[in-house]
Amino acid sequence: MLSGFLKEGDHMNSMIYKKKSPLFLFLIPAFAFMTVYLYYPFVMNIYNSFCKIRALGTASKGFNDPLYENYTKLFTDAAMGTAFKNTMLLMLCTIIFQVGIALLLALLIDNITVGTKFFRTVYFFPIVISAGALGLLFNLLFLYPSQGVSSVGGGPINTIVGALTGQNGPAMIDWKSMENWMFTMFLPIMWQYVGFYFVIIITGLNNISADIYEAASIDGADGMKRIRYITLPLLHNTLCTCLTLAITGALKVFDLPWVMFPNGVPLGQSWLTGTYMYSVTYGGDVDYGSTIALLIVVLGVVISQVANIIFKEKDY
Amino acid sequence: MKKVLALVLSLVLCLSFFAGCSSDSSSTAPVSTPDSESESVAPAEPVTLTVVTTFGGSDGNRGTYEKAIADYQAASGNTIDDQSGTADETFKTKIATDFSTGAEPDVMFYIFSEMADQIAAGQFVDLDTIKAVYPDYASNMDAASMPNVVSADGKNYAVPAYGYWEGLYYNTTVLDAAGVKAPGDDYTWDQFLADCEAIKAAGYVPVALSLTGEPHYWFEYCVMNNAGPQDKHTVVPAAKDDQGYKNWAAGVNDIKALYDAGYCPDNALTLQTAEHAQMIADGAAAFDIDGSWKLQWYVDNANIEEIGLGYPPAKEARKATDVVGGVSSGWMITKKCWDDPKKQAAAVEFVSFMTENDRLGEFATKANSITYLKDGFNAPDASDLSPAQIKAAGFLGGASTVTPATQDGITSAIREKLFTQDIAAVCAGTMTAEEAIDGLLERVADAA
Amino acid sequence: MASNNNTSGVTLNKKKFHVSKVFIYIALAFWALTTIYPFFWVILNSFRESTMIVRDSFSIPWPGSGGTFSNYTTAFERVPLLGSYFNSIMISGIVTIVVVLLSGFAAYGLVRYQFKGRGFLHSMVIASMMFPAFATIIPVFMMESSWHIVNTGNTLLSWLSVILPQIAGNLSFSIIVLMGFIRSLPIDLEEAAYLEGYNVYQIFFKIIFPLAKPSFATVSIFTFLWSYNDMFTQMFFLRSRPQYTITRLLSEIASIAGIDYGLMAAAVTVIIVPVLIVYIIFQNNIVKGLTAGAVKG
Repeated sequence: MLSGFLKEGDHMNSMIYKKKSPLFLFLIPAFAFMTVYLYYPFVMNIYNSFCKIRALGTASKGFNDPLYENYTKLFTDAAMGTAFKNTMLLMLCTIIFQVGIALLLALLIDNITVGTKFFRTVYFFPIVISAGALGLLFNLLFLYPSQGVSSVGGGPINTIVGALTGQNGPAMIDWKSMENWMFTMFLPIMWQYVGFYFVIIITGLNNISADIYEAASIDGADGMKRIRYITLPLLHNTLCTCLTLAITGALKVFDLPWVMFPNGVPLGQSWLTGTYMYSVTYGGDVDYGSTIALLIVVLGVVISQVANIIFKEKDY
Repeated sequence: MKKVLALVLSLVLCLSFFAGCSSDSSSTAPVSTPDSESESVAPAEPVTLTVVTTFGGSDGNRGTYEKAIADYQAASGNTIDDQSGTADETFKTKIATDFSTGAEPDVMFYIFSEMADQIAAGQFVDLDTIKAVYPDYASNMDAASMPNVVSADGKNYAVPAYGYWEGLYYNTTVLDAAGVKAPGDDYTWDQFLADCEAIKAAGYVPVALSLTGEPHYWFEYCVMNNAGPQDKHTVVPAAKDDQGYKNWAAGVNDIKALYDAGYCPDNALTLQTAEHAQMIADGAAAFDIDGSWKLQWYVDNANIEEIGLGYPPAKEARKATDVVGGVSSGWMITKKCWDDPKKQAAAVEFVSFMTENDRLGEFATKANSITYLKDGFNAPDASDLSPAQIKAAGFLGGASTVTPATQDGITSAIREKLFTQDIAAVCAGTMTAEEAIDGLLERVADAA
Repeated sequence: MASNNNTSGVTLNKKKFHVSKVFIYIALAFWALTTIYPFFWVILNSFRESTMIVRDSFSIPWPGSGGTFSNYTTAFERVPLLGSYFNSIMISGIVTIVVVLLSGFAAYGLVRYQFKGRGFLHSMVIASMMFPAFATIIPVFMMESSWHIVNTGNTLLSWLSVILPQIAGNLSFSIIVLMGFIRSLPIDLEEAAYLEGYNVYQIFFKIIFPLAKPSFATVSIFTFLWSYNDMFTQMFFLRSRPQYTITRLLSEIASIAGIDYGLMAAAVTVIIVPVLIVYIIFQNNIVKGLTAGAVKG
């Protein structure tokens, strides 16, 4: 009985889907919307990357000279290189931590009966709160104590660290310094979107019918074995979706890092592709911003397609 | 239970929709009495004016403004479609797009350096043209002292509401604890450095400077210290090593000197804009240069009796009483509105209403600043004001010269990188001041 | 939920379960603490005077040491508050329904059908997820301007001018997620239905849709949330107060640029409430699928 669900093989030749005409009806509405509202404007955006546009919303002032000026800038711009490096690192962390923790939580919840609704509701909270409020919270949490004689406490984290290390007063750790900024920037981003992947994975888990688990336990598979041989394989497609979303998400993230680390502070170290693109576009160089946008799109597609090939999505 | 909740919620919202809907219609009496300031033909029928101002969000004058609009609508019978907001990036983009697509508003109260492109493109109407048809327009302004909003053609496009100034805020408790005398009207840079040393020795932060947040105002005075007031100050870099270039580079280097001497906070590189004034309010830091708009913040957030206000320290080229100040926003009428015969008179009437002596006085008082009215206005009772507020009232009066900010000569999009990234880089030593200004010149040239 | 509790009656297993269950609860509770606390913190500070927040945001604001209702009274001053809620819900609701339908169709077509260009379309969908808002907003604005649906005084047309771009913006995410879920559905049911004479459309509505209801609910939640919070589009297309959504109405005080923190906390709380209600309602639908017993043999 188990093997019936896990059969591989291309079932695309199923008779139902041989006739192609309904396909158009299914695809056209969505793609029509996307063409008009997304693809056409983005083609304009690509065109803009060859022009000279100074302020967002104003008309272009003619073509760049040379035409491909922005594209060479992509490779020579030190800040762009930093942004790329940081974003790749963020992507890795997103996959390991955001998706990882979400998976762990989802699997844990699958094993209990009491309180699942409570946890499902509560894990969703961080996504709902605006980045402005979250940024403020984290800024205040990590606040550097005012130095000097009348030192004002600083944030709770410094206070706690100070107490734990037996100091007289708060620890004077600058969480946004050249050594510490990466931790301070990545931590809130990791934390905020766990709930997002959690909801998606929970939905994926719920798509696995109870019958399979019953059959499995009759056959003797419980606990860890169940997770390894049943749950994870059946979650495969969901996890692939999460992978794609994590990749694109890391390339796009903007709100929270910008509130805490605007303009690449400290000293241009903390740029991400999302924040750098924003800074460039509103810094009077809209066409270069358009070029960065194009880079982000290309990176997103290439990396996620490569990931999808490595972790092949399976059809059932 | 949840279904019931959803049902109730939907019902409530439906009902409020109808409530909201009815506020859509304008219910004003069709009486149009022209304002006494303008000699215009009274509009025959009520008109709707689209107005965009920066009196939105948490601006101190939002309440004053909204009340003024309500008063205007009641008095004139016209409707104001108010689309004001805080001038953040999205808002500015929306405005720019509106001007590009012919959807611009009728009247604006806005930062005119942001509208430089649109003024150059002839999308605003200048004061002379308006006065030709309405001779009393802006007649309550003192033309001699009224700063001009000049474009390349030398014409004035806006009626100013109130001005601004930038001064030195300090915490008197900190100064006392360090044994430092409060800055007088003859404060010199050397005295200032000596004071900083004493303050640092006493364990406080001398200068609450946020290198990537708001070094703008320190920059202004450091430049003026090297350049001198008025015309010498307002010259912007146009070519390598020209006078503007030298002034700006010298200003940046002075800031670097403060940083190198250890007078800035430990985390000056990442200190956020909202946090630096807090250091003064908390009694952790001594000095900060900020603008007239900040006074209200200190009133609300600090023990205002502890806060002092003075003239920033001066080097050879400048006296301490040569201040940075002027006007950066004003009431402007768009050409689109001017060309519309139905709206023309209403717009003029509206601006005149908003710039009536007493009403303007209200705005100026809330902003702790001055107006350019011929007759001044009835200032509020000064009896229970703190020392800082009293000083603020006389700040521009006690100044020897008032010069507009030099950075306003370059649009904000181009100069922002200098203030949010490059000054910090110069202080940290990864860039020289000359390289920073070179970068600025490149961006200026690029934008031409 | 899982029926693992009713399986083998071996005592040893049960004991093991209890101990590990405690650890499970501890882990879950720990994470719950981290997610609840910020929410709690925002609400707490919405009752605190703004000037006290930077100095002391982590204590309880008793009246007398900073506790106040003034943030809420200032936020509620902004009219039309309830009308804006209605606008928000209507706009986001319509966007959600249309996105679910259209992305359901597209995901179904992309997953079940084999055709040339399938991979290309898949890449295009992923690509469109990356487009930043400001890259597309200006051409869209100009386009809708020329259709005369922007800057009219008409509320419904303004709604339309917001709804259309938001639908497009959320389609890519929904298609990607639904593709993953629909792919996991065993084809047996569809084949069985086909044998009984159903055509493709009936299969979609009668088999796929009910089976993937949890997935559709998930997609709905996020689409609603993102449409609701989408300041950028709303700022451009909603011009006058009666048209504003609650996010637009309170945008200035809830924005990153503001420094009146108490007001911001109050605004954030006011904005969050309907979304949470919608989530709680929808959450009921993310339950076990209905496949139990439906598969023959």
